[in-house]
Amino acid sequence: MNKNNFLTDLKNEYNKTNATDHLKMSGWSDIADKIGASGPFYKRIFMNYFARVSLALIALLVVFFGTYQIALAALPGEPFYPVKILSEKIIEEVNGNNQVTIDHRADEIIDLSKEQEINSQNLEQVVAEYKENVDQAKQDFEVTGESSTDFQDKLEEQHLEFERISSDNPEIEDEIGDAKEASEPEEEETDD
Amino acid sequence: MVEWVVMSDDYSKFVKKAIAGDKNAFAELYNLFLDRIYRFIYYLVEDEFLAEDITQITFVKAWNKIGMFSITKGTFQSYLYTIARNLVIDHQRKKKEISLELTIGENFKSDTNLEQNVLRNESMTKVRQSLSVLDEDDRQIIILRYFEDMSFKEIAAITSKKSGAIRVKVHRLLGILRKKLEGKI
Repeated sequence: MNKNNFLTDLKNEYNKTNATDHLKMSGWSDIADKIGASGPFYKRIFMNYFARVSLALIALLVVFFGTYQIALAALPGEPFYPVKILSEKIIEEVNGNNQVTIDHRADEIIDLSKEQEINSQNLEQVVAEYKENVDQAKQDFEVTGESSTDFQDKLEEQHLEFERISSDNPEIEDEIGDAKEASEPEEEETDD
Repeated sequence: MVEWVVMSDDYSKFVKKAIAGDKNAFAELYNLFLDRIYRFIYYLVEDEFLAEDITQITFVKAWNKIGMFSITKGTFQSYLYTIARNLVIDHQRKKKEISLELTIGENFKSDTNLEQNVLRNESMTKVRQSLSVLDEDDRQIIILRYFEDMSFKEIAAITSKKSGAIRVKVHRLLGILRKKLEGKI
């Protein structure tokens, strides 16, 4: 039998199969109930004012936190660094202390010292800012009389880290000298 | 013989309106494609009630995801057949998992006209028997190519395969079908 005749016959039989009476009579009305009276789902979302505002807010939050996360990892001279500085200023205002700024500068000292080609100028600037902030924090603790145990513990950790990186890379010993000095644990006063 | 191939120009205006959210335009598309989608699904699942359900879900999904359909990227019929095919695959996967046995004898409860049913049953049986030598994937290809008159490119888009591979496969499948007709299988 000819191949084409065979397929034509089969196609004719195939085409005799139509949707059931049930589908022909009430298929569309069932679907119309399911898909609702308005537009498709993606359009309904955008037509609803509340949903539109919510989506815009979510998009803004995603952009904001995305930018913030990128900024947190930024080092001096990088495009997002000013965002990091701005965020520190806001947090300082909200918290009433500069602990976050000290942590960031300490992290930056560590990160900059790990770079293949160390930018001495940036490192010195970060170290200077670290020292300035640590001195400021110490001064604040003295004025307010608040317990500085946690702060001292943190400085000690940072000091140990600075010691480690300077022993790993003696070339930066001088650059981070002020940071090591600022983070050095205070000797406890004795009555002797 | 009824002209089954719906020319794209005939329904492209409905597609555009449906994308813009016009439910009435989508109703026109439903009427245009109902029989074709139903029979495509029926010859894959071989169960009338199930084919009804999957057909309905195909159109609901097509409406809900119509924002993702682009006229420039493919035809509306490819879009519909892709949804239908994926739903059938999902169903077959679940069916395997729960070992659900569906009996062909229960297939003709919904139609009321007995004589019509007998004739319909004969056609369905003939097509089913001929296609039974092919597995489900191969059946889809033969149906789309020779019964739905689709291009290799469209079939490739629906089945997520390469156009060249479809062309080679169709040639091989025709040989199998011819042997079946000649009683060699």
